[in-house]
Amino acid sequence: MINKKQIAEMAKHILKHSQGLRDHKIMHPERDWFIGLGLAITFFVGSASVSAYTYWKNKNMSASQDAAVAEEVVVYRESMVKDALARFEKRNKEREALVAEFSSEEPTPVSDTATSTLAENGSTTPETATGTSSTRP
Amino acid sequence: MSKSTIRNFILSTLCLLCAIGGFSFMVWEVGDKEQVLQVQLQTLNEEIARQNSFYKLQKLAEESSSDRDHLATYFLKEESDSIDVLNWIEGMAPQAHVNLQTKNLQKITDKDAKTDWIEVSFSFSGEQANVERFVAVLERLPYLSYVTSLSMSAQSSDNWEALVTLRVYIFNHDK
Repeated sequence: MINKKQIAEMAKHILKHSQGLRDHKIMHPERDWFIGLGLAITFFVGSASVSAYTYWKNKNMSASQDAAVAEEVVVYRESMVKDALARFEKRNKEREALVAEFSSEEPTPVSDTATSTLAENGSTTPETATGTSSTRP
Repeated sequence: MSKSTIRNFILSTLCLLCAIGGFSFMVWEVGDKEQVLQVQLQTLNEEIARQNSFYKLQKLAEESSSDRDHLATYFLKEESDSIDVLNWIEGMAPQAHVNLQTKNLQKITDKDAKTDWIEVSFSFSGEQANVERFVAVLERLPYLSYVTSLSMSAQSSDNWEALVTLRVYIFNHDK
């Protein structure tokens, strides 16, 4: 009959044996040191590379006037303005010529009340001209 | 495994984790600062672009001011400026030897084109040549204007009457 004490001793023996085996398999100080060192170096080099790449990517970044920012385009139709001015100048010259004709003539007294003259055919308005000007600019 | 081994193992693991954490933080910080820098640079570029646009516009405004000012004299700015047009026409009538009467004056709004016009109707009488010449003068007013209707009739052999309706453009900046 196995008593409690014997079971405890057996368990202790198994555990001790297992622990000893595990220690012996898992821990290789030299190997683990190099693994740790390798991991640290890899991580250091990786993060340094990322940082260096970011620096290299942005080191020439500067606010330039040729930046690809959509500039507001200012439209000024200079030719249209010149054309309009030329048209108005032409109108002005024509009008001034007409006004000069008025000035050169002797003033003719014009009666306020229009006199009605009987035409040959009996009409009081011998000639009538109607029309619509199409001088819209 | 001896106690010192376990202690060294734990210490080295902690150091490694700290180093990884530190480097991770630095990498994240670099990326974050890069984004901030790009946003700031974009803002700066937009500001420079706005300044360039402003300088271009300013230069254009200065260079074209004489032309624009000259052109502006041919437009009515307000409805009340139509008085100048009427005064001009009424002042011109005696020189043209015609009797002028202003019939109607109203503001017309073209809803499609979103433009405002002053519509004025005149009747004037005089010798045929004078009436025709005065019509020609009305067609050549020093304003952006056009004659919408014209009718001439002979009242007698030496007296003609003309009915003219013309429109003068009102230039409104707000529209």
